[in-house]
Amino acid sequence: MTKTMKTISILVDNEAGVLARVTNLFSRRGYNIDSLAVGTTDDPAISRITVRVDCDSRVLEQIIFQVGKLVCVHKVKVLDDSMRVSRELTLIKVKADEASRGGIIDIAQVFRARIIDLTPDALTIELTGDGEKTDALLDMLRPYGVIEMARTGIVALDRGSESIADSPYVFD
Amino acid sequence: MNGAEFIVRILIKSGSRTVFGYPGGTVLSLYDSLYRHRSEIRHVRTSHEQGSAHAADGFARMSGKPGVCIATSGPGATNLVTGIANAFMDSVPVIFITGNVEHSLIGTDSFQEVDIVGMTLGITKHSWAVRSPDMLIDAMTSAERICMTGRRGPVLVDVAKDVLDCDSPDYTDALEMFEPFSQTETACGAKTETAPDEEEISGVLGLIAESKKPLVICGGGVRQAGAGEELIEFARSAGAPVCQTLMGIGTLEPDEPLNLGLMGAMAGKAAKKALNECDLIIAVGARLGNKVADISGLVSGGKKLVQIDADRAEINKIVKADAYIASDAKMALRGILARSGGIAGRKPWLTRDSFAENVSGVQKHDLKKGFVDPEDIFAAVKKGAGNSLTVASDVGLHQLYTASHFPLGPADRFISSGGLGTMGFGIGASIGAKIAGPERTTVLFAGDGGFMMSMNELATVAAEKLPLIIIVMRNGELGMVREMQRKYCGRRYSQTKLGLKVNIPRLCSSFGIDGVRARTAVEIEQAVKDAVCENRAVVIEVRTVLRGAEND
Repeated sequence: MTKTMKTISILVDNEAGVLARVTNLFSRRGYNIDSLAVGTTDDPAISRITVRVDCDSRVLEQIIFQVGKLVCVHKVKVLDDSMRVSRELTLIKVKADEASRGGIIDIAQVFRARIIDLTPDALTIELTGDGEKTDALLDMLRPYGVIEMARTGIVALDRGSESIADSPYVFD
Repeated sequence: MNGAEFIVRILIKSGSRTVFGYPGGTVLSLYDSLYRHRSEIRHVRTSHEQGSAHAADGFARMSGKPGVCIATSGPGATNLVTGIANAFMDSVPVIFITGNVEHSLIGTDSFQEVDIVGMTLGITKHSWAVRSPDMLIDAMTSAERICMTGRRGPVLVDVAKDVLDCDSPDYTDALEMFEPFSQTETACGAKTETAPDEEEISGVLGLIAESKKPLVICGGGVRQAGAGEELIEFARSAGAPVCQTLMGIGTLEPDEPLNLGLMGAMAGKAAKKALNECDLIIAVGARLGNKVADISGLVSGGKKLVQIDADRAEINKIVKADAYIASDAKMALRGILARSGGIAGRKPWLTRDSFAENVSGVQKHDLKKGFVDPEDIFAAVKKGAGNSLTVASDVGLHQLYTASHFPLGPADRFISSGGLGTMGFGIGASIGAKIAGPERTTVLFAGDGGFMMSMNELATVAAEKLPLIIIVMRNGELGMVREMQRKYCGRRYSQTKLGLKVNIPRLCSSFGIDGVRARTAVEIEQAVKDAVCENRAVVIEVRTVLRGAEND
């Protein structure tokens, strides 16, 4: 079976230890996490985990129902690739002196990234994108010398009025 | 009321009359409460926490209610880990309660501190790291429900010492409002437990109608759902013979013609023939673990597969099912039977009667004097012990022999470690099973390896005056591992010859338990009869030969 990147949203209790339960399950069952992001929702008692996993449809089914057995998990939804919006925030710190600074700023502008910190020897770029854009920007910046970077992991929602409330995978 | 008192009163209100455990520094106040309530709740202290864990497991398997097991922090908690994993693998409801160090010390590597919740994340159905009275109330009022609903399993309540020790005004109200879990709730759509879907039933009926040679694999989920009668009714109407997994043994009557007995390496000829020739496998309450799936040729055999399981995550996990019902076995089978007009009354394509020889297909050995053939051991024990037995086993060749040769039916109860294969499970588990079912004669079959792993619990058997009948099948080797070495290691029997010099009868008598060395089947029968008659424990050591490969 062919593997593709899947985007899965999971609604969980906003409690200590919940993330450990979910990630422990992924790790012990050998599901490979590509990206993971967690934050509270409009209901402060509930957090939303967005996880990206490279897997086939059998493993995806396993993930849904294994995760669903966790007491702290309420809903799981697999987001359709063509019917979702997704974003990731990335901060990249690049070496930049007087000679290279202009070139780096030009690149950042093309990617609609922002410069959020600037010193005589370095600058920090903020980029919001769907993941692939981040990789492309990184490739362009590498020759200048990337000092460090941080990514939030991808968060995603369905397009239109559809939401995780419409998911068939309810585990209450 | 302090946290400890709250725990004990919740247990009493839930109907727990026996708990197993071992005291220690962080659970002092819990043991103080148990002392105060000793006329209402019995505490059985074992020799080792692992023994407590297996005893609570055996208690739960026998009673159908959660077992309770208590241990202190640090080593007390880590000694439970094998027992927790064992309960998890076999879907057994056990509430494990551990003390932990004081809230303010957690995370500082203080004396006897371990992160037991973290260590057991993957082997518990749920767990609580209790650090406040609120969390204790939440944990203790939902523990049993979580254990018992959907697919059953163990939970862990890890309580900081200060929460156990300190009073909270909230406990009184919480105890007052607490409504014990009732068995009838399990059927009302709790987590992963759903009524069968009509479309799913149609899909299954369609495959059965197409099939010429359907075979049922009956797992432990059938008995757990109390669906033994539905299963045989279904098998008869579909004309399907039935194989059982280790967890499913005892679901059908041993003389039922459709009952082909145990599947796996020790399966009889009828079961092997059925697995080879069937065109449809209907797995009911059987999770098709790798041991079962490989044997049934499910992966490569081109057979169709129907799965009926309470745990939706088991569907398609190992092998893709052609149709399935994600529901408790009883509800699913009733749903099928209600609509089985199209398949009803089919003639079975294979029954055990079609085979003249014994279902096991195992040959008698040329035995030396003083050795007894395993089949003769089982026959003698059966004669001596009578009917409606609790039969427990340890893990190893003797376990597969017991499951395939000892006549076990719905009136009996077979207790064995299936998924984890825990050597040393037997004595602890049979202690718990005997306490849960004191009216039944309880027989444990153990190998000499597993017996030596857990014989410290003979002290518990003696202290609690439990009339257990323990048969040590002494073959002088770790037979199952030896068998693998014969096949895969060029007959280099590394460390599997036990060379035990232990005099088991004398060892037992030093524990205050009668120990007998039986040299013939007659002596076994007599020793069993005497122990049953006098209602006392006995350990019967029998020299025997166990071989695992006759059928290969």
